[in-house]
Amino acid sequence: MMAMARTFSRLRKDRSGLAGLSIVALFFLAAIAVWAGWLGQDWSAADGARWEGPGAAHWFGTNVLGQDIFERAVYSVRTAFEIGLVVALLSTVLGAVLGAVAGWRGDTWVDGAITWLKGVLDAIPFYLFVAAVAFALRGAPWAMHLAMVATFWTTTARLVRAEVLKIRSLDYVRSARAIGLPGVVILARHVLPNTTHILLVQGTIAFVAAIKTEVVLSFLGLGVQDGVSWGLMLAESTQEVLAGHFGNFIAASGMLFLLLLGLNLLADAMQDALDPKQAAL
Amino acid sequence: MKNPALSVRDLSVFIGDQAVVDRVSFDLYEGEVLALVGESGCGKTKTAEAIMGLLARDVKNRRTGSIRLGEQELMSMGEAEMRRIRGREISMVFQEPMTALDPVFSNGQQLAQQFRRHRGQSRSQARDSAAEMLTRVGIQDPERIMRSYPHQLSGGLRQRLIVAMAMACRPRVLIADEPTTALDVTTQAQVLEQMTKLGREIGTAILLITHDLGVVAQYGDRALIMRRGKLLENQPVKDLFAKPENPYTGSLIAAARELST
Amino acid sequence: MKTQRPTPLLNVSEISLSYAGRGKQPFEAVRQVSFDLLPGEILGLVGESGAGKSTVASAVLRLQPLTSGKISFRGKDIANARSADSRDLRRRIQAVFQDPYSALSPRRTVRQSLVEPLDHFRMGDRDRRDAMIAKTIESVGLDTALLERLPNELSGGQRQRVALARALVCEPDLVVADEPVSSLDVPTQKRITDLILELRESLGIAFLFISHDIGVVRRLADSMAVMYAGRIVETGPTDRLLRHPAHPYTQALLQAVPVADPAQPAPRALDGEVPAVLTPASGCVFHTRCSEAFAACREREPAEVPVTDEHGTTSRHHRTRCHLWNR
Repeated sequence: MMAMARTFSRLRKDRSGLAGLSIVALFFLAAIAVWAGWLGQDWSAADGARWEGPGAAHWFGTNVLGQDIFERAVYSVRTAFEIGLVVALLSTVLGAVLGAVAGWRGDTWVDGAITWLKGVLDAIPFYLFVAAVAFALRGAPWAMHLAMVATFWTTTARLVRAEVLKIRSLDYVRSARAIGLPGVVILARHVLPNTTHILLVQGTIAFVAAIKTEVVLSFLGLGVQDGVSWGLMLAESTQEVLAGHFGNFIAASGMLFLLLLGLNLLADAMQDALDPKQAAL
Repeated sequence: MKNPALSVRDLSVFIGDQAVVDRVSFDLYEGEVLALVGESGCGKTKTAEAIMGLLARDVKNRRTGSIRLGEQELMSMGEAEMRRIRGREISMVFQEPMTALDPVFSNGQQLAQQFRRHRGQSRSQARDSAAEMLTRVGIQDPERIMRSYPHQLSGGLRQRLIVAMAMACRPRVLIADEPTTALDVTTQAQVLEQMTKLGREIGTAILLITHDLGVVAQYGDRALIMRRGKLLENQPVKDLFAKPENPYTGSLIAAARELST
Repeated sequence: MKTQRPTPLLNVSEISLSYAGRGKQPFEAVRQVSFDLLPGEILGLVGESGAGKSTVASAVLRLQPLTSGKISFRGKDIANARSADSRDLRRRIQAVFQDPYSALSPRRTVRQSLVEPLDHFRMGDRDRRDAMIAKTIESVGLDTALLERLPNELSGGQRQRVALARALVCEPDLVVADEPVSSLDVPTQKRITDLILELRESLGIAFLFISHDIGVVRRLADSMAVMYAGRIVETGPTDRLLRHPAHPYTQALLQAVPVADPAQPAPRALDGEVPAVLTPASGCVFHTRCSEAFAACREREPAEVPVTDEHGTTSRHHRTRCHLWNR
């Protein structure tokens, strides 16, 4: 707990980090508002004229079907957070567990197997793989999420494994083994908690990657099926832009850019704040 | 009295407003071993860094005073000039040998490099000089050591290799900062014996920085005692141990004697 | 005068430990090492890097398996301990290691680190545990206020005391201390060695104290064992061994220490290096560097024999592995 308090106090001093945190917090609040039913509920209502420009009724104008672009962009915040949170959490947990097991059992077949799997997955061109899995599972509601989790865990696992290998030889782990604590207990109680700095940062990066990947998948028609996302909006906008209507494009890419900027600033600031080497004694 | 090889006058090192080295003055003569002693944090390493011009390039670090190497004033030299002096006229040996050795090159290559660069020797001359220098630091199988790589050597051998490299250019001054603290006691005896012997043969003045009073007593000709940045004593070793001028010195000696065999 | 030694607490008998070498021959880190430890005795295990001291510690703590030989604790073989006995063993033999900065789990408070062994060994209820922790933390000279702190708020010396408290809190019979003071400055070393002596007096705990520093061992240990290249070359009561070192390596070790008095003789350096391959072709492992080696030394490994002192008395307790004493 004290460690977290210290981290926050360090974060507070980092201006760009604070900016990032504010942006993300704002978007998060918007996502909650959508979930709760207060915002963005009319994203599918086709009550405007086709391709209206920005105006009082529709702040960003309408798309080809007369749907309000602003409503759709706001609803997409919820989509983005859903994907981001689910993928970030699951891939980080999976990566942490597999990385810890590989590191703990370094130089045995378990480590070899996990590392091999990591290598194979990493060798496949990323978007191809994700697209392939999403395609194979299409129709299933979690196809896209699964595809992403299946590839994102490798980076976290690699970093956690390296850290666990280091920690394994430290004296406090040796002492724990000497009194006979089982490996699982040592990992959970002494090793993994000392990798949280890695997990938090990797989680944030996975969040960003998930949102970006969804954009690509939606572009390919393999992403969000029911609902709307910035990716879908961007996919729609390809034809529209050629016809001279930029509303969809600007709204989607603008909001996407802002959220990703905020997340990246936050991730950098967290990495500095959590860096154990800079931890004040 | 001959002219000193190195002459330090009123050397001060400031970090911000604090003087971590406070008006230190001493002379270092050819062929002599001057031990610089003190507990951790007393400023001995900062003094060495100031002499070598190796203080971290930070706005907060400042040094004042005079450091004369023979006729040259080091304090006013730019980095390019200092780089010429370092490794040729003043050499340094640190506690951790691996930081000075390049794992990619063989030991022989690294040692020969010193002769080629600083003594202008040809490739084959340098190789012979390298082998000879290794023998002079007490290494019994120089050919094998020259073919191997730094990570294949034990700590003691690595440190002796570093001493060989440092002395290859026949420097006027050798600064050794805790060179044997990380070594076993029998290895320490080997390294210090070889280093001081070589110093006397070549005429190098050695500034030996240590916290170990046993090392001071057995290998030093004169000793400087530092505490919190200030120089408390400057005496020949025999006199220092027989009649310390400062009570702090007395307490250091008493503590050292208690924990010895 | 022969004194009959009572039953040892720890009996290490002809143990050897080998590591798989990198593709080549196995690397014998420890070879046929034997020693005893009585209840409440402090044995100093001395030697330089690579001598095998930490490997011996790992063997006693069962962190590494033996290749051959036997270790018995309170009369029973520890290698074959079954689960209830094994758990009991783990409580009775505790460890303290060298580096105070990695000795404690960084995100656990001092209290949490001390509770862990009590919890693992299911000792006492909550109140009793609090009492035991308070008593132990005070016995190592620390204030109970430190219990709620994290390791990075403590100095090196304080952390090492906490590590010692953690070893003591479950009331062990034996503490294996592997270079526990080597990373500390001289005044702190002195305080902690004094503390260990006090603990032995008040609690009767035995210590297997491993160190490369003979000065520290001299203050602490009742008896000493000197290791070189995986073997014990000499062992005996501390005073006797230091006054009359029998083995040439022990003598070299003592002579290499620089004394803080310029009037005393200069240290004598020992030529050569520790043999790279720790299973030499033949003979005594030290013969390549020994100034007194003769024919037998190159041919046969010496057996352990008692040392005769200047009065001609032999002490069973002072023994050495050297042909010079076996002629």
